[in-house]
Amino acid sequence: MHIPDGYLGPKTCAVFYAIMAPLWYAALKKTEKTLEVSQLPVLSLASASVFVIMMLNFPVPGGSSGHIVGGAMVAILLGPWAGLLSMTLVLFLQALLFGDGGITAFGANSFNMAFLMSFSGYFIYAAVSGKDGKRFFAAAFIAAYVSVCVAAFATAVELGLQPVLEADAMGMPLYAPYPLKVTLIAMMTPHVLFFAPMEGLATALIVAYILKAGGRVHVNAEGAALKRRMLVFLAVLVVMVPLGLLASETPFGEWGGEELKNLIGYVPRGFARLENVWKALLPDYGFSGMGETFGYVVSALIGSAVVVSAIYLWGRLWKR
Amino acid sequence: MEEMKLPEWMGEAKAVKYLDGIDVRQGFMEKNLLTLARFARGFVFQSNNAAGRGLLQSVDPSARIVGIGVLIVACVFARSAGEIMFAAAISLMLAVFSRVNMLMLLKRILPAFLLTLTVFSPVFFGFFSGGSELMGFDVFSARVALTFEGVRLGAMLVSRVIVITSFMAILFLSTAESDIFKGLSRLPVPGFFTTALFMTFRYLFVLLKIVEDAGLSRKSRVINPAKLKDTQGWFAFSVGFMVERAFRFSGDLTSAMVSRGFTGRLKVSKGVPFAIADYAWLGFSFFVFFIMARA
Amino acid sequence: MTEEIYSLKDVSYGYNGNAAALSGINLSVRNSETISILGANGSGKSTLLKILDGLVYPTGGTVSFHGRILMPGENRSVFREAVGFVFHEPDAQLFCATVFDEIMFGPVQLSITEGEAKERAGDVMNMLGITALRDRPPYSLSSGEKKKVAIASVLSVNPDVLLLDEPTNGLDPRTQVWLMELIEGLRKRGKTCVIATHDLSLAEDVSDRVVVLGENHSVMADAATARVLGDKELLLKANLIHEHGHRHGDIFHIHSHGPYSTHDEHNKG
Repeated sequence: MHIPDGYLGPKTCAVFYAIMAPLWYAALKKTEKTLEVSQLPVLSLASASVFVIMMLNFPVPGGSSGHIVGGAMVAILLGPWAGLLSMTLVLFLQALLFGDGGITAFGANSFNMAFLMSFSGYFIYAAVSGKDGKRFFAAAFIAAYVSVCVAAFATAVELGLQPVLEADAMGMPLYAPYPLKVTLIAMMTPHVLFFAPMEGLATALIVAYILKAGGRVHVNAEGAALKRRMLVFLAVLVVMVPLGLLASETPFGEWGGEELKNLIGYVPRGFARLENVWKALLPDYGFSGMGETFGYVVSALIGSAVVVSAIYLWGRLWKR
Repeated sequence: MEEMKLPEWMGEAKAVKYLDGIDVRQGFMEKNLLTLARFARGFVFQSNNAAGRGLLQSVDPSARIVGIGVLIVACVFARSAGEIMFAAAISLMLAVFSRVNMLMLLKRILPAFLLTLTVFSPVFFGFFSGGSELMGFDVFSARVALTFEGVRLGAMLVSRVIVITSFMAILFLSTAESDIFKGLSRLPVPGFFTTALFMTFRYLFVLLKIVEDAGLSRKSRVINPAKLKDTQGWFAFSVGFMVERAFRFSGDLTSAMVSRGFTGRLKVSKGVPFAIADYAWLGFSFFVFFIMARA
Repeated sequence: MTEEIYSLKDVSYGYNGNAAALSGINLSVRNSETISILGANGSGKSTLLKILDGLVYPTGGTVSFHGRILMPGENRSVFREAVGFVFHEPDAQLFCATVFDEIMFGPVQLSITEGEAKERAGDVMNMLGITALRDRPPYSLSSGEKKKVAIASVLSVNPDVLLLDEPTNGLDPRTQVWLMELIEGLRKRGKTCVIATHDLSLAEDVSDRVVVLGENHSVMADAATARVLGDKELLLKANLIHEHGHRHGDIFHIHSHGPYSTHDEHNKG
């Protein structure tokens, strides 16, 4: 499910970084509060554990094996915000050290696997496990199962929208080239049928073992407050997902580029405006009389000089 | 002194059939864990030329990381064959001037290349991209043909991914492990994050060792490697066991950090300020970025 | 009369209402003393050291450092600078990218100026003979080297009090000797050392005083080294030495292992 670099265009990458930034910030703040301040090592160890687990092969019938992602598991054990942080760490290490998932795509991957998986896993577990967490096995299974499907769906959407969002003037895709109907099927089928049940089973087994061994899950039965939050979260998901369906009235799976373009038409326009701002920040291309290329080059030189000076000055300020 | 009384059945000498003749198939748990441990330990930073005197090696690790990151982002903006070739040329130059082992570089790029090629293979063909045919054949009534547009698009998509991968690989082949983490920690990332990052990495190996030890001890008992439920249960056990040990361990680690003055907000030593070489490098990478990011 | 650094009054510690790890401990540690805390595994030695380092707080009784009672939730860097703890397991204590960073960690956290910190790090590495390991990642070292790095990372803070948890455990003989020499050197510099161990020869070599923790988690003895270690009955009761029998042909021996092991009993059997 990790999206490499070069599959998502710059706009998409930027958007997801922008979405994740406040989420990461919130996660840092919340984790500092709920986990004791010096529980930093716990978090790291949890992340390390998750990392190793993700690399382990989980045996499946037929003699083969697969990997689990672990988003739901960490959220169940540490809470959704700590789970988000932990998964972010894991994803970062995977991207950095194993090239599993890109750097520019890190925002999107974090959104899918650190945010969506953790939160959906956590809330579903909380809802299903019942008072005193009696139904923990089923709850863990379902939570992990759904979280994988949610993340896979999001991944499919992100990839599938690339031909629309990031195409050149002639409509040829510049990044991930497959349209939504292809990516949805390609992603959802193996995940729903295979990876999600596997993750469900693995998560359930692990949670069961930890509970048996005297550990605790983080899920606290906050009763009404929890249910409310969960409902809000589900509502958001529910709205996001069939948004296009309700609006466009085309049968599912046959969305053409046009419908989508209309549906999300406002998004690219917003980006277009952003691009103008960006261009304005860059030194003016108004080198009349010289070739356009030369103008580009000089602007780039000036731009980089500005950035370097900024870094230098900032470094000096730090000293004080 | 009393003699300890052993149960009767321990005295029975068994007609033991040693498994010499039979290839004891390692249950994949053990195989998994052992290869994993060896892999994780050795792979990432091996054959690295961090000590060499090359271009990247003379740049401060923090600057190195920022620069490569900027170059990667620049690559994502590459949308034409020309731009990608430009980026590829830079990557090649970097590799050469940083005395990177070309064979190692290729080894790292190869998996990404194969994977991307496979994923994007339909793009090369007419049924996907349309355009003027280069060569093709008929399969039943359908035409399967490589087209000019297809090849161009496919090549662009694949080579962009390759160039980005090569930049990452070059970073790793020219930087020592500890420098990567030190470099990251000196950047304006929340201290919590970089420390956690390092400790996560560091304790990865400790955990692997724990799992390795646990896995090895299992060999001496007989467990049927083919019994699925057994191994699944074992999987859960080893994971749970590891997590438990990890949590206990983390208590000790926290104590150790607190004992030496850690109060929750990690303090990092300032490090050497950037030198001309570092600024030049940064300037270069931002230059490339601005060139490519005409959007 | 040297100053009293630690004063423990009726200290006990229990985990979550379970069996107590420590029970009714009264202890006094004076400046520049070297004390060994002897006890079998599970007697509570490590817990006692953790209490001395303010890492855990007693569930009963009080512990004072220089007259001030240690209370949870307080954050005193002065205390952290004054007391250093070398843990039993070096792996738990070494978490930085390089040996040098590890040694610098303490001083940096305590806001010691960078120049001075670097100087101290250099001196400490010299002293322990690990300068060559400066840029190595700690987890790649041998266990003896790890131990030295762990000690170095505590010494760079320059504490007045050193708490050592089973310092010779797992060390090869040469390194064990080296460690004893190090402790001697620290003693001469006026450091106060509290060593938790079940290694009787270490206790004999370096301590002024020995405190014995029994398996009942309370103090069984607290007196000068020679007196405590000469008391065979006491050592047996505390499970610090054992007796066993073996045969020499017709003769059946009983003897004990410990610092004063002698074949002092013969039984024909």
